[in-house]
Amino acid sequence: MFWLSVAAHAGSLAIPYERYELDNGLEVILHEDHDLPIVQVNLWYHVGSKDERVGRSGFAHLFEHLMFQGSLHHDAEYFEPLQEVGGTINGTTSLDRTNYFEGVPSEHLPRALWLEADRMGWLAPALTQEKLDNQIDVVRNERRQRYDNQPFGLSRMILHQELYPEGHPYQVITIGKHEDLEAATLDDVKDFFATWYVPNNATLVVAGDFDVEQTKALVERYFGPIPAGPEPSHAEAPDWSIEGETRLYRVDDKATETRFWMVWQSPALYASGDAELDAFSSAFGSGKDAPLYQELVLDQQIARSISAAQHSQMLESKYVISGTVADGHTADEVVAEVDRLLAEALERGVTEAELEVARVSFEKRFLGNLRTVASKANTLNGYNHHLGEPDSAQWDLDRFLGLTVDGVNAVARATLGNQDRFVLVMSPPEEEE
Amino acid sequence: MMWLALWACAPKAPVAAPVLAELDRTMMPAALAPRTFELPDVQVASLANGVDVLLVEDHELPLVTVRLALDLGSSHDPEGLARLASVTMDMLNEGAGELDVTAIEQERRRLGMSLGQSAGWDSSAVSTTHVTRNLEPGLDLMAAVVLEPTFPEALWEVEQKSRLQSYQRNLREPGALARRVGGALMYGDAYHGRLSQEADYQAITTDAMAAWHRDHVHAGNATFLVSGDTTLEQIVPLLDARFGSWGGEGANPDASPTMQQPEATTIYLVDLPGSAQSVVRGSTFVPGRTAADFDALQVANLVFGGQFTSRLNMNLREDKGWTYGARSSLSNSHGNSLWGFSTSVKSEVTAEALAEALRELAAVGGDAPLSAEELAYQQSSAIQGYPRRFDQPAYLLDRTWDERLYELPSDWTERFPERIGGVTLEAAQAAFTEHVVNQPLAIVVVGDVASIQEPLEALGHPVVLLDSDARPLEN
Repeated sequence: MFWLSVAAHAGSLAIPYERYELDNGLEVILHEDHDLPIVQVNLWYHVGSKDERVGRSGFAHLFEHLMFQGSLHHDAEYFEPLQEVGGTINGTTSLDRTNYFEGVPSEHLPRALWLEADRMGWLAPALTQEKLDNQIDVVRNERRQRYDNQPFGLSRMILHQELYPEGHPYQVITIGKHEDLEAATLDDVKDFFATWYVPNNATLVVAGDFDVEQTKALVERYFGPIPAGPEPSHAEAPDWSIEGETRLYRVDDKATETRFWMVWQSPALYASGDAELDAFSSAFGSGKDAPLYQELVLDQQIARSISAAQHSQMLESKYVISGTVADGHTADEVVAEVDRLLAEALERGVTEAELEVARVSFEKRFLGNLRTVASKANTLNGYNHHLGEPDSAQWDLDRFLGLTVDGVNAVARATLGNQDRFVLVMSPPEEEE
Repeated sequence: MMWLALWACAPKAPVAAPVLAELDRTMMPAALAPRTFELPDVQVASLANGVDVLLVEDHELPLVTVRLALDLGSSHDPEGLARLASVTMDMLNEGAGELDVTAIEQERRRLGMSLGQSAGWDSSAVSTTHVTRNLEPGLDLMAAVVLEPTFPEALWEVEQKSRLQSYQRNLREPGALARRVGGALMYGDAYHGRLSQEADYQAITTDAMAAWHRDHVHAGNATFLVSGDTTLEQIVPLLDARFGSWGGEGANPDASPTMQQPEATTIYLVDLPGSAQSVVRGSTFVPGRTAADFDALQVANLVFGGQFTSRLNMNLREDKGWTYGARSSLSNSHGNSLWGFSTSVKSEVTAEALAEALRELAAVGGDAPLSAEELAYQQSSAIQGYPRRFDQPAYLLDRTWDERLYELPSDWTERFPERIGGVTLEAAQAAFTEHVVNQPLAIVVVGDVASIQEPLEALGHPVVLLDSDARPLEN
């Protein structure tokens, strides 16, 4: 990581790397950083919950859990041999991808590679009904803990279910439905593994304190013999658009206040218009100096919190203005005021000064993301997954530094200057007198 | 400071020969040559008024983090004004000197600076991160917020309503509710256990904030923790210019919290009708960090429940599938530490899960004492995992601050591997049995009382129904 600070924004952000491919199609990206004697192994499979088939929601994530339950040559818990040497190990699944990562002392890099390779090549022979049943229970408990048992825990689920049309890859969020999780079979797991967990659908990043030649030999040794699979075909963005407004009112038994979400369709992550909407949010909806907060929270006091943000996703994004309604007021009242302020903001447009504020905050956010070896490893894989170029940090930052007032205003008007949107309102149950 | 990788761990699985041998995937690969780890330096200097500055340099990125740490927090909120420290710290950026809230926010964002305030039980902080080129104006803003807050009445009225609304919300969040009730049971109606209630928020005034600020946010309580792209030569004059003539001293109130060790294991049940899961927490006080057997207790806790591979999680999650996770931990404060386990389990198995956790605990003192293998595993885990923590320079500063705040030996952090490595099986077994296994626990269960009360009563411990303020309900 080098930063050459020559002028206000004229730095150069780089994460030097070497990328190559094994014969079986596994992409490998190496990034050296010798500050500490630790190494990060970060493996992305290019599959997310968007790629699940209908009736098997939650499956990509359930599968991720099974990846920690043992494989042919290490048919035991995956945490065990890595926590033994002080390593961290985990994985996450999102709509768009699945990642696995380990941070271990440098000398134990072979152990981490050995384990990752074994489950990439030989997970299926070690699968059992007992493991599947256990992890279905664990994942359903994860859902209960993080979604079902929290105030507003179901909001994102309802929002995706009602916003996206039937069969849309984002219609069910990653955690999935209880009934689909319960219905998962061993055959489903094996099919999913054969389809998606092939070396030619994965990218391995090794970052930190390691020797390049030695590591290349280790990677070839452990991953090289895994056979390539058929090229999987990924979910594609459906051609659809919201027409008119749908406003949905739901009761949340656990809620003690009312919240609302106003959602527009917006450009995909890294697509033209994505950065423009981030910049618009910076001026309009984030911070105590922004119109939304000033007017609705401080002056009128009809909302307790309010924010506007572009939620970037791979196939298409959603632009969300959400808030908490002050007791004694209604969501419809706040939404009407948001509409008024939004119309004013779009009419007025962002200013050069506001854009400059946005640029500085993006710069700082980018720097913050490169602070640890673990986040650099994940950043390389993220850029590679979405853009095909691991070292896109400067390109990404330039998207923001190069924004113009006219560009931002045009995109904001095109995206938000209409009533083609979905509004969700969630309120506490009516009190019985 | 230098610490060599002294720990040689005996791997459990057979070890393969080095890289060139034919690959046998059933063999765990041998380790490569071990590397040494050097603990970064903490540089120390003082401002003109005696305020200490601790610095960990890191010039990889053009960012500087400056944190003002105060050695007093919410533990001593005045009677009837619970959360005063937290509210006061939160209000610091709502107006300062000539700047109103909008001007503060505009300047902060113009500089690309982050600014956050917080109050814990024993300490409070104003935390800032700056891009290097904007460090000086950023410190100006930080100084204004710390030294000249105005606590505008009108903004407190807004914030007060917001706090009251989120207070209601938190009473419905099962994890937060369990922590609230558990804290009150263990610490009593003072210090760490003091419950915030609607009346507290209604009673807090901007005058009370100004008084708290005057009495506690002063040089006598302050330490600057700095990390990132700066040097002592640069940062000390910059801080001196802004904080060097800052005065104030005075003893803080006695920092030792009151502690109520449970007399008999008791289940305290708090109702959240219709819960999909029950949150279960069990606690007891154990000796604090300077006790001779504290390290033994730490290692034993790792075997029992400290991480994923510990007995508790492997049983409740990986064997039974009753939960997304179960852990036990030690939380450290002035005086004794608090040991506790916690999990969130499917409602139908609440009593079974609690019984299983208690059975695991009893087993340590009975038919499944800690084994030499488990102990070695967790020692290896803690010691070999030590260097990784320093990936963020702030970690070392946090630990150093911790040593100062709680008056621990100054090599407490540095000697961590040595202390952990020195724990014997006998010591770990004895410490955990005496201080945890043989102690009564206060167990809080937050869930759907209608469906879980009866099975919990069958466990043989007294069951007491409490409200969200930890007051017993009439049955």
